[in-house]
Amino acid sequence: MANLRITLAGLDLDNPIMLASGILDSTPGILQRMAETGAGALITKSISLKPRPGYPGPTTVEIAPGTWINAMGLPNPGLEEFLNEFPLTTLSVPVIPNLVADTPDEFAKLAAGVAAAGAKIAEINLSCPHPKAAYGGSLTAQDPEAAAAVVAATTKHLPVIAKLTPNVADIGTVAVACARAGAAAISAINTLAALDVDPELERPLLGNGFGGLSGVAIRPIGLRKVLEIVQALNHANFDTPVIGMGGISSAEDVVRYLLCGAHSVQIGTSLTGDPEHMSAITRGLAEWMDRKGYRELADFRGRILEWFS
Amino acid sequence: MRYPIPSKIVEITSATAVGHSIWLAPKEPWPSAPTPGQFAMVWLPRPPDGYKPEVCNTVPMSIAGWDNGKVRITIKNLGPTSKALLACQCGDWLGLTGPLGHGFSLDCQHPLLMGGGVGAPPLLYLAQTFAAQGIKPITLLGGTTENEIFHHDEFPGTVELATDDGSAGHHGRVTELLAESSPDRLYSCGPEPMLVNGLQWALRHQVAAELCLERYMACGIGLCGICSLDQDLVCQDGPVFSSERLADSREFGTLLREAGGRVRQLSD
Ligand SMILES: Cc1cc2nc3c(=O)[nH]c(=O)nc-3n(C[C@H](O)[C@H](O)[C@H](O)COP(=O)(O)OP(=O)(O)OC[C@H]3O[C@@H](n4cnc5c(N)ncnc54)[C@H](O)[C@@H]3O)c2cc1C
Ligand SMILES: Cc1cc2nc3c(=O)[nH]c(=O)nc-3n(C[C@H](O)[C@H](O)[C@H](O)COP(=O)(O)O)c2cc1C
Ligand code: FES
Repeated sequence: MANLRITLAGLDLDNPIMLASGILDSTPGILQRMAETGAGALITKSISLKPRPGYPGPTTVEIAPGTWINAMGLPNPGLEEFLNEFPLTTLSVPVIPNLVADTPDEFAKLAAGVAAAGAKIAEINLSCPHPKAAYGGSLTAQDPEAAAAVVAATTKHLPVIAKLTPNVADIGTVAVACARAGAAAISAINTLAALDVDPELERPLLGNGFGGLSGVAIRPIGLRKVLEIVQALNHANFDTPVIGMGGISSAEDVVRYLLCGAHSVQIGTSLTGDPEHMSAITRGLAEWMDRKGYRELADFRGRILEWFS
Repeated sequence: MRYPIPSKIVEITSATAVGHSIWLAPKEPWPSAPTPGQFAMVWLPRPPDGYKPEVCNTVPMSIAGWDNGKVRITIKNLGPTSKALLACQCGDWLGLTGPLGHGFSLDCQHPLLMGGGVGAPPLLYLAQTFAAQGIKPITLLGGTTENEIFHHDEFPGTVELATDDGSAGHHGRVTELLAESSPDRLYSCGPEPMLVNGLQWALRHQVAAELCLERYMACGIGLCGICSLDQDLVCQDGPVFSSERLADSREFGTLLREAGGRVRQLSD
């Protein structure tokens, strides 16, 4: 039988497949259900210091089968209500809070809050607007120094996973800056900056206008970004684990990311309307490994890298 | 694909003091008739004359009727978006994502329908669907006053009204009309306190019941999780739930969520 167990910053996970932030994770009830699907860990919705109501609809639209554009507006009840209500330590699988803020100071407050409530590790959403942005479109994770500053500020409180945006020229540099600042892991990719338009209504498809692309169409982009991160970290002599995501909808897609050197993965969009699809993917990974005769994830992880040396 | 299909308003009907009904013709018609109890995310893509762009939003609305590909929606003025939807004219375009969720089951010989407020529209479509099968439902409709009760003159079968001010029918709550009945199944949609009373009555009298919940939704398509009732998603596993399911619920009738997932306790 294939062994799917991994450790992430000292945390033991039953398997390398986690629920991605922002999908089927905005209440304790749905998190409980996702825990029962056999996911290795659950990442929560991005939590901010103050409550956020979210953007007007449409918030999520399927623009081609399995490919979505969304602008939810990071709806969440704010740190205080989140800590009152969410099961950070009582579910059968680890719950990893995802944090979002504008400045390193605010990120540090969030990290201190979830650490005090028992979180063992947090994911920091660096795909948020840059505090010193010269214009509205710039993100923290587009500036290696700004990203590293957030990692340094939060990692004092608990180990952090730095979640990166693919909307950069060189994602490897950002990943190395985060690793150097002490990130326990790197996760990528967040959604791709996008816009879609309805020709009959002659207006943007989303209530917010701009949005992010996710789902099957972004898988090849996610794979390439993960490969670039793995290469850059190797080159700089960091063994920081990389959590890959973007368009995973099957066990074969999980394998694709692991072959590119990902330590583990997250799944979001493809669970839309079918939360229990998570179980099928986890089972499918074990079956694939059994069929191939692999006992450990390390037996095939990173096999693609030799093609790019 | 879960896409807000551009849909033109082709008819406006059934005005009450608090809203009216619209018929929409989707540019790409839905492949088959929706099940009563299913809903759509209705998108107001442009503010009507005199309204600010901030009123544009998507709101979940029950399907109130279906006619050869045309979809009927009945709108009550509850806030900024519903008010602006009511200001739209024939020829205006909306977006329609649907049909969404799980509706009512139709295997019943003696159905009893009970609705309050915007619970009447999905029950109208349910009653019409029963009538088309040769089954005559009994319907109980409640409201503050007669001219706020949607569709009361359109239901096939028997209709009894209850009003808070006694302007029509029974002077009191619609749930008080339940006492006389012995149906195969109770179908109900409306404010949650009314549904709680309906559920208690059904459990006490060992009548099967299906209740349609109207809760805050952000995506409406089973992606975000914000509409969860215990471990179920109202937008996907509901909005219609069986009495057995709701009898076990920790959150039904007690805990609501609002924008951002913030909790609000439901007080009577
Ligand atoms: C499955 C379902 C079916 C529905 N069917 C209909 C219908 O057929 N006709 C109709 O007029 N309305 C229906 N509603 C309610 C409708 O979605 C709300 O009227 C609408 O969202 C109000 O938006 P607003 O911007 O006008 O007001 P807001 O300012 O957003 O809200 C005004 C009031 O409505 C309440 N409200 C807001 N959102 C919802 C919601 N999703 N469900 C229930 N109450 C809400 C608020 O608590 C507030 O009291 C339905 C809701 C659901 C979930
Ligand atoms: C509706 C939706 C909401 C999201 N919300 C968040 C969020 O709050 N925080 C975050 O870090 N990422 C968020 N993401 C990004 C996902 O976690 C993930 O990085 C991305 O969607 C790619 O994976 P996928 O193709 O499997 O969905 C969201 C994605 C979607 C589709
Ligand atoms: S409203 Fe988003 S899952 Fe139901």
